[in-house]
Amino acid sequence: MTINKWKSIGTVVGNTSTDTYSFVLGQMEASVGDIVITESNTPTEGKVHVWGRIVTMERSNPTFPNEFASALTDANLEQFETLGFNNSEYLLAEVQIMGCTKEKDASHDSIELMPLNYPVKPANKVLYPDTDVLNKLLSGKKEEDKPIEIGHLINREKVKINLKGEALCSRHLAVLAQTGGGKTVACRTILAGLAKYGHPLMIFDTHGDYLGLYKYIDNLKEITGNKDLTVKLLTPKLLASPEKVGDAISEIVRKLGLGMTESQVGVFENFVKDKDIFHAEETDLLKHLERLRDFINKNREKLDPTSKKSVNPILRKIDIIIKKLRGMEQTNARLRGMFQKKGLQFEDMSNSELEPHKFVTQNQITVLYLGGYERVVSSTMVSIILEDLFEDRSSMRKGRIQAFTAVVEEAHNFVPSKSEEKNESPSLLTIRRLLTEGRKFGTSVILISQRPGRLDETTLAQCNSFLVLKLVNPKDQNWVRSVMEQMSEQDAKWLKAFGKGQGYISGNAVKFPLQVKIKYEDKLEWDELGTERFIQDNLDEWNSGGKEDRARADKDSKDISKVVDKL
Amino acid sequence: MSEIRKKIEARTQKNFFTEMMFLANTTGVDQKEYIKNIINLAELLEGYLRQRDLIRKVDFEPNKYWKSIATKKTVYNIDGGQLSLSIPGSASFGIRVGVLKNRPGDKSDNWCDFSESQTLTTNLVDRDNSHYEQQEEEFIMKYDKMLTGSRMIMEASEVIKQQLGKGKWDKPSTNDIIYLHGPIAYESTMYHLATDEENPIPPFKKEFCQTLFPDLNNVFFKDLKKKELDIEFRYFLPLYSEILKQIQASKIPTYGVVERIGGVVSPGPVTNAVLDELFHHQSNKTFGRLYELNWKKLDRTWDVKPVGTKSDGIKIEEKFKKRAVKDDIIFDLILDPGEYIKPVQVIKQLQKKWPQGKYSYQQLFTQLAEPFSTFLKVSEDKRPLRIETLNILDSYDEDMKLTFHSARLLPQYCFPLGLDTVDKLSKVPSWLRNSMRGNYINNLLRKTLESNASKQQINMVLKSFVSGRNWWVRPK
Ligand SMILES: Nc1ncnc2c1ncn2[C@@H]1O[C@H](COP(=O)(O)OP(=O)(O)OP(=O)(O)O)[C@@H](O)[C@H]1O
Ligand SMILES: [Mg+2]
Repeated sequence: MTINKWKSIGTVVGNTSTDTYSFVLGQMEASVGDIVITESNTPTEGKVHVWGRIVTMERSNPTFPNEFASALTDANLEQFETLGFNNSEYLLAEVQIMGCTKEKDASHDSIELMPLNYPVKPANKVLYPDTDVLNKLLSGKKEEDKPIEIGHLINREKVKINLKGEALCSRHLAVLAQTGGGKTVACRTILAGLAKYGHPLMIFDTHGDYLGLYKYIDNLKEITGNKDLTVKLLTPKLLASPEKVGDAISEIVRKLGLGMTESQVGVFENFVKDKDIFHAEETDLLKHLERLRDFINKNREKLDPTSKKSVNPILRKIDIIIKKLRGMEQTNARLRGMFQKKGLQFEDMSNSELEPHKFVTQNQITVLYLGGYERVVSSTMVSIILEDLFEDRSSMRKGRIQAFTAVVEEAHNFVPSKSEEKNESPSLLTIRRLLTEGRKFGTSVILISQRPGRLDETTLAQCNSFLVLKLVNPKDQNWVRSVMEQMSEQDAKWLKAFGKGQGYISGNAVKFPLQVKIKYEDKLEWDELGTERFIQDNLDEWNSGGKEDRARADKDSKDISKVVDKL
Repeated sequence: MSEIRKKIEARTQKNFFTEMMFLANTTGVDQKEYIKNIINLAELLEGYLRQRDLIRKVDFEPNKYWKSIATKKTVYNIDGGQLSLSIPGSASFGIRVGVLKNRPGDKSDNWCDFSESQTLTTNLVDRDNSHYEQQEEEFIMKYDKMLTGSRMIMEASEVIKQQLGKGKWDKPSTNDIIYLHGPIAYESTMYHLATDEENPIPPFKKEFCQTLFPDLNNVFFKDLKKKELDIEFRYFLPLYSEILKQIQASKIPTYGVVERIGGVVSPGPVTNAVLDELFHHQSNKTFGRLYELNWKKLDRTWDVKPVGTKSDGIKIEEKFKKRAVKDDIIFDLILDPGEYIKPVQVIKQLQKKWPQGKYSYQQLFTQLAEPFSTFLKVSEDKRPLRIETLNILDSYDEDMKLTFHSARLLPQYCFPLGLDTVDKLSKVPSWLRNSMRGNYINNLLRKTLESNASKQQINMVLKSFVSGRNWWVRPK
């Protein structure tokens, strides 16, 4: 392959450096995100191809000022009836240099870049590389890396982009975008990629976005080519062994805003210290709570007078917690009921401490459906499970669970930044620890959030790969840029312009930071879910007897009042 | 209060009058008094001009006008752009002259075309590269004058090329029109003389002069050209005088349009001419416009009965001298949008400034082409444009119509759109400027480094050029 084969699309102008250069395009032959090449001479390597990515473009037509346009409109004239020039539009593109290759390298199977150590020469031609050579450079497709195809280079459908599966599973990934930006779609694409290799996956699903995987397991098998895949849906349950009950309850009490006074805390802790209250084999936190309540009730008389005063408030708080937890359990059950009608089957969740294999197994995608649970409670659940899984995995004992990847949606609820939360969320410390130490043990996490600015910075700093889709909020943009070293100012500016599924990917799961369009597996999207049609639902209900019901009820109530009022 | 007075008073409230106040202040006059005087003078002049029918008017009818000339007229716009690279060790500049051709109403590709007709890059201190002759002993370097002078002469020569159809396109017809961005004629001695009357700027090289004239057989100042571009002819003054004569000889309507009126002379040259045309007060014995006209065997332009007496004219001229009222200010007060005064001849080449001594070209002086000027007010909010031509043709009023409507295509800027466009097309864009400069610096540095220069020398070079994130200063 020779350089002559590539089309010339522009000329280098202005000041250049080893990091950037600008060029003027004749026509609209490239767009932001495209990869371009220019030739250069370096003292050490001789003639090289310099590869770069277009990060910004300005278009201007200096000879058609706005006031001219308004004069034409006012006089009801077209430009050709008067004066001017129609060919002076030009495009100025800024390129971020990725690196260079020796000229002959273009014929190799895979192209590796070297750093450029000499600036590009102004007045050089800028070339548009063909698909083949781009694929060689970008695809990152090496079998030993366990490639995952996530989409293609933005605006170039034929240039596929692969993530290194191995890099993804040994480090962590953050997927950030405003709501509707395509986070869940992207994550599903990535999960499908991992599922191809049977890598165990543990998904904490707050909205039911992943239930479709269960529904469309056949599609998933087909897409991944993995016939042995299973998807397991779990019913959440707050579980805690007797040793942990005390901590768990105090945590929840605090989180639910039911703070106790100092003396109450003292009394409460005295009670929970007494492990004998709790059945050793019981793991259901609700059951523990009920036992605690009964126990306190029974033993209140034995207390000294000052402690006695604390008993009633403590009992009241325990009651509130029990009620709340029951309420959430019921909501979750109702939601599950809806899905069950549509053919989904949920299993009771096992104790993650005792049976971690039920969560993490080769060829299994485990989805814990957290719908209906308040974030405090769900974050407690997530942290307990992750902690248990991590403990087991890091124990290094024979028969420990396999390496796995966990997905945390709405991550800002689980790892909130300091400013968001006065007290650290129970899951924050767990996930933070998982992210810091996890990579030694192959426990990786995919964090998904639509409010990146609300995420804990220390946690995010542990992510080694980022996929950022559309982000409009400038605060979020700035924040994202501050944690992602590779993101340039121009890249950050583009975030707001992305369409659905378009994004910027960087970090060690890809060869270079790039703008990508994520592959959309519509066969995995359960569209009965996301699309809320309240107006239609109302109409349906009203027309199918709702109207008559209402009328009847009104009539009944009139009849009743006729009678009752006279009594 | 008369209508005219009311209108004039209102105009004195406009923004740019603060600038005028500044002028007034610097001449130490009471501001209120000053404004009152200007209003009086404007009212007086406007009255006489209108009485004698010396103010003409174009109606603003854009749709009707543009449709009326559709495919009947070709408009040429000429402008030069310059790039100067005056940095230690080099006196380089680049000039390019561009021409925009429009045929309004033509839907085909013929509607517009641009021609980068002439380009010049030169390094004045490089004997081979420079377009000036260089004899070691007597070479005088005047960077600014050389740059501007070269551009002026190239622009003017482009006018002849277009008039004769010797550029990219065929010869225009007398129904077409040529515009030049800037005056049609400059005062030329400034660009001829380097320092004093004795020392002219060096002559241009032969090759450069050849590019200026499409036709060297038809020159006016034949005795200068005795031996085919004789060196005597290759100085600025004779070349430029010859080019202006040739422009004047053409029957193609040709105008220079001036947007910003410089100078602080009061009365300004057009006002001065107008006063003399109205009052016939100047003498052909004492230095002044009439004296200059006489020298050149030219007559007054307007054939009108004088106003009042000679002493009235002298009095008014005195007032102008005291009040610092520039041309564009007085005509801004006098004219309504669409109006222009009947053109008057204005003297650019003054006898007292003409060079003396060896390169005096005395024989040229009496035959120079001198322009006719008018002021055209485009909109209420903008000062009028000065429009010059070397030759008043029958189409003059028709041409003003086009000029006015072209300027109204830019309702805020109020400058003819074709000229504004060619200005932008000919200008060297800033990114190119930077890259040329960058290239030059890099070459210079490389040369310095290769030349075993001392560390100090290299540092000096670095310090004087390199700013910001230039790769040269990166730590190794
Ligand atoms: N790569 C893509 N290609 C085409 N369409 C896409 C892509 N990604 C997302 N979409 C469209 O956008 C919709 C929303 O995407 P998705 O549910 O992934 O957004 P999200 O960022 O997870 O939003 P939320 O914050 O509400 O969870 C999808 O249903 C799909 O129609
Ligand atoms: Mg989502």
